[in-house]
Amino acid sequence: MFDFDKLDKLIHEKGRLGIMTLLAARPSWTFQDLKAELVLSDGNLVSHLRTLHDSGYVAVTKEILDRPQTSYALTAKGRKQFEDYLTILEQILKVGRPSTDRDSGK
Amino acid sequence: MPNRSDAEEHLRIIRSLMEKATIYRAISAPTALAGGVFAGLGTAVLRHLSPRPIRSEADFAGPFLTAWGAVLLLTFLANALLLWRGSKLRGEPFLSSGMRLALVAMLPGMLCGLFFTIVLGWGTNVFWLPPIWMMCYAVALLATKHFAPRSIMLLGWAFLLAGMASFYQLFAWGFAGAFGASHFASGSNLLMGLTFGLFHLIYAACTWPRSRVSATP
Repeated sequence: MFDFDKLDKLIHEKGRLGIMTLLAARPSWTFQDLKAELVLSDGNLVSHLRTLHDSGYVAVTKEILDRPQTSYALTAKGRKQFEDYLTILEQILKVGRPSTDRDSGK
Repeated sequence: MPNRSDAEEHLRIIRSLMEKATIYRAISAPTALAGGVFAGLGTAVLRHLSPRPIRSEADFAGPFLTAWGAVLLLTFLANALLLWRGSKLRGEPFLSSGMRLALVAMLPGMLCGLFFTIVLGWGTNVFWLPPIWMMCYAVALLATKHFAPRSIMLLGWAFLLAGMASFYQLFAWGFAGAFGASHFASGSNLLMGLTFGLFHLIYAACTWPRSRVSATP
């Protein structure tokens, strides 16, 4: 039987799940690009990013190109946690399937 | 404890965001610059080396197909070299997943272009080729819309509209019998230079700074 308590509650929140997914898909994202893709308010996005950064899941890089720019990337720990999270979701689907069949009388 | 529908919903979110986040620029700014320069050179060389006078389409078919075949080959080689260098710098395989995705999407349009080149080139009806190449190339570019940046879409639409307009014009002039083969020959060559040359140079100029700042593939 799978231990569902292993599911990372930090990632399970939809806003943070979106951030983690985008960061897993590309090496780095600017704040503006994340905001545009996820359609989150500045305050919400900052709050989620701070939570993920404090947990060591997300690295922040501040640089000045033609203007100041903050970009975000997954840390090795963040990537590992995200992959584990996906594995657990898949397990939930596998475990859930037989009970669904029983419920429908198959 | 999360249930099955909860897990499905979260996996659906992950999948949809992952798909949206995949961006692949099928034509990089340096490739467009190389293609534009080669196309410009091809136009100039063909103009200089074309037989004079051109009495029929057949007189022009050989030099036209040779010149533009060479432009295509040089651009292809330059692109392969740039991609190889880029993949080496990033430590990625030459045939990345993005490139595979782009090749599969572009294949039907490119195959149509090859088909028309063989059929019309064999029959020496080469005056029809520039608008057809433009439209086939446009279809190939527009087929990458699910993972291409906006600039590629704009380039695709520019080629499609230019291809349709020039096809219509060629049809109207051919039907009217208004011009001789020499006019059509120089017109075809100029059309190639203006579209495959100039469009790519404009694209390179517009995308060059952005591709350096954002560093996206």
